[in-house]
Amino acid sequence: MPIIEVENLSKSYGKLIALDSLNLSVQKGECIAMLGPNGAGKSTFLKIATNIVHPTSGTVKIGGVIVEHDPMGALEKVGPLVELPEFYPYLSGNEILDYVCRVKGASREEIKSETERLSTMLSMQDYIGRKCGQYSRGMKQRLALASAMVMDPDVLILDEPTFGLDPRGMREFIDIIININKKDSKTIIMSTHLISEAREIANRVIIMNKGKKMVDMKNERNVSMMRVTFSGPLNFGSFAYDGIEIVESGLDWATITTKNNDSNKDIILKLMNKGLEVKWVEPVNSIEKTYLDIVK
Amino acid sequence: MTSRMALFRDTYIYYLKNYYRSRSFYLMFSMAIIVSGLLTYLSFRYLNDLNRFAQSVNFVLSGTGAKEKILGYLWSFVLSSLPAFAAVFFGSPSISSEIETKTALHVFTLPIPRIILLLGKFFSSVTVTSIIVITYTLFEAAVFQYLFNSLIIQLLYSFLLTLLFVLSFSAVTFLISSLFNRNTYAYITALIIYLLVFNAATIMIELLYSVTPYYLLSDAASITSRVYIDIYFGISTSGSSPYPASNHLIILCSLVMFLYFIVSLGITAVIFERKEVK
Repeated sequence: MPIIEVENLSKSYGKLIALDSLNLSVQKGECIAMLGPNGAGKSTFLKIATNIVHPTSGTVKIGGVIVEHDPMGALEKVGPLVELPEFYPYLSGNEILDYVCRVKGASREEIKSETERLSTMLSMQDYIGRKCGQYSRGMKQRLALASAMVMDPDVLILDEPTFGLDPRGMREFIDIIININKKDSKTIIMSTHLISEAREIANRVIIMNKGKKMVDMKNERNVSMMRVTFSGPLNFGSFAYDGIEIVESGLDWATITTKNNDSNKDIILKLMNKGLEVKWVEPVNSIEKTYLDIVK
Repeated sequence: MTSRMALFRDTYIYYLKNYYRSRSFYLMFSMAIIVSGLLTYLSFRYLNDLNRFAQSVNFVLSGTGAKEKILGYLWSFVLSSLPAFAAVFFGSPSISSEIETKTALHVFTLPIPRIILLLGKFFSSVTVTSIIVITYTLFEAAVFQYLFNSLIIQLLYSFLLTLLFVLSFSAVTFLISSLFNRNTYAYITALIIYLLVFNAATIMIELLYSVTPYYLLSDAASITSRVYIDIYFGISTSGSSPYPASNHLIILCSLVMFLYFIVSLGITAVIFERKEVK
């Protein structure tokens, strides 16, 4: 049974259709990245799933419970982080986590241990006792992730979780999310603008555009792809050997892929051995290519 | 499953902490202290000149308890305005700020019914508004006890009715706040409705129909000062007022304030339940 089920989900703001008949089924332990340009409908979907926005039609079920009908029941096992939430400025990070723990039914001992565990995990010990009004953007983002992870939820819904973080913070966040998904088998749905992030974290990628789901693909990290530019016009016959597949080609270039264990270096050497003069090689991500094909 | 009562208690404390630590609270609290201090100074310094001041504005009062009544009038004048301003200050941004500052992106996603969020925030706002009113009332009680050796019973009645007014007007400010996504609009609208719309309606209705529209909140709220001072400005009397706050009027005004509280909070709950952060 899927842990998240989305059926014909639509959301309109007047004449603007923000989300158009989205259907989605998410199994336990999956890590899904939603990609798409601004206005694609990613955030709208995540907001509906977390009860921030109400759908015009359709339903989102989490653990078999329809979010709109019983938000409390549906969100009980969900850890949400939507956009960059703000926190009440006169409360400390500790007090925020304390409240989230209480709302999720934690005992006094659990509240103490959860607050300590999360502040350590997200390196927030230095400022967790300070008022949130004094937090930087990155600190707020960490607190938001900590809040989402309170009481170890089964599902994490993360809307651009690394937005606003410095490169080191981004790296730490990505590692934490990968770890949660792999080690604890948590279900994660996240939206991102960063294809590299989606490629690294997710095992399934959904590309959205103009409110619609355009592609729902597996993230096959072991398939390498590259765009090769040659010195002269391309001779297709030169590619005729096992393992190379032309995805796309032009007069003097081709995007090629291999499904065997050849490294990019091996492929280039083979092409050069065939007498082709390689001018330029550029790795191409299959997600990136699909994405650009869709949103161009 | 956490019980709803426990959720309400935790939410109330959560919001109360944020309220009483805020600059808004300290600003309002300072105002209450300053106004109370000024009136205390006036009460002690000019006690013997009160009749002269009153006569200068055609307000003649003599006999036993005259000074007490004039002083009571001055103190009650502020007492009827202070809770209104405090309620606007704390209540008007209550819901609009959740959207404007995006705190809703956090609290709306928690597994807690929105009605509990609303009630927790509402009663914490009422609490801080009441603290402002209590501060002022304590000053007033202390001054009257010292000067006249009497803690007048009307002050207690007036205080209880003021708390009812705080409850009802806070509910109105929450309702106004739920209609907007920006604090500025909520503040301005609340002030315009209370200071201009209600007053304009009162004047028109009194002129056209020669009746006081106690069904308007501002007029119902006037009972808080009437039960206290029991006199009218411009009327010369040494004893009881010719227009005392009758039991019937007290009940009517209390009922009106209570209805404003219930209806406003009810509508706010419905709007808040459907509130979205786009």
